[in-house]
Amino acid sequence: MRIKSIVTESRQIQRAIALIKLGARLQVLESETDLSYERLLRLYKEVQGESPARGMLPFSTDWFMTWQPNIHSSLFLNIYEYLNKTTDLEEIDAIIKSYELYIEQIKAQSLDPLLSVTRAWRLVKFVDAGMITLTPCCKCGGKFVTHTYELTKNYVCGLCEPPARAGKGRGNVRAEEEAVV
Amino acid sequence: MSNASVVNEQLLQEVREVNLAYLVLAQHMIRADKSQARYRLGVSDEVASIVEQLTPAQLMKIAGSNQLILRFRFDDDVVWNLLTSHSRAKLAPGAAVAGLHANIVMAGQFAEAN
Repeated sequence: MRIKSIVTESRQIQRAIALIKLGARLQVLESETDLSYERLLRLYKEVQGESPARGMLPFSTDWFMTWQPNIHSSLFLNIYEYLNKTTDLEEIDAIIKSYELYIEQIKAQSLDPLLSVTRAWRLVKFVDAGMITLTPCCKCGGKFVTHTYELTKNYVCGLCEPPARAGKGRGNVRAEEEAVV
Repeated sequence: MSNASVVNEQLLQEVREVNLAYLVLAQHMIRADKSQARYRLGVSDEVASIVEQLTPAQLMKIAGSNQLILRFRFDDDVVWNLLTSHSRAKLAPGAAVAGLHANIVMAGQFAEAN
């Protein structure tokens, strides 16, 4: 699709820059703006100072269901749903803003963000496609990312009842090191 | 002047200071980014627009009350328990993410409230 309005084009470039700064992959930019591949590539190099990563995007919904990623994804999706419901932002702007809020909250807890902006974008697309949804936990009432057709009547979230080996994987090395200090 | 009224006067002064600090911060946040500010503050679009438009004189007037103009955003014990590290004991090794539990529950509740 060709862009006729210069104002629209400039808005799209701003949006693309915001996404690149958050670390988005080129496929996200291609899908969310009408800018040509060549221009996006140039923009990417200009903003990041290096060529974008190659290869396919992560495509599985299963990543969002594993313990720690599920917590991070749930936080992001709750923020996104909030912005989506209460404001009339366009979808991609809501994703950018909620991702920024997610990063803020993660940093406030001195954690590393596990969810990349590309994955966050993917998550919203999965929700749009009806493959993933938020299900309330019957214990804490918080809403968590689950598959849409899972049995969710007595769903208990991974934080109310953490799995036996929760937090013992490689991902928590940093937190443990900090705890020792 | 009795001791009690001095203390009382001091408390009122602090209430006014908190009010003013809150209003100024809220206005600053709304002007920087309205939709993100609404998430942080938990206020409706109408309230955000009004606060955004307030003049400094109006801010002072609103702040100068004996009542706080802000209050707790959550009033159920679930969130309080999560915030006060109640659930952290059983999550000892993964305590890093326990802090997010309250965030998730709160974000979800606000989405319903607004």
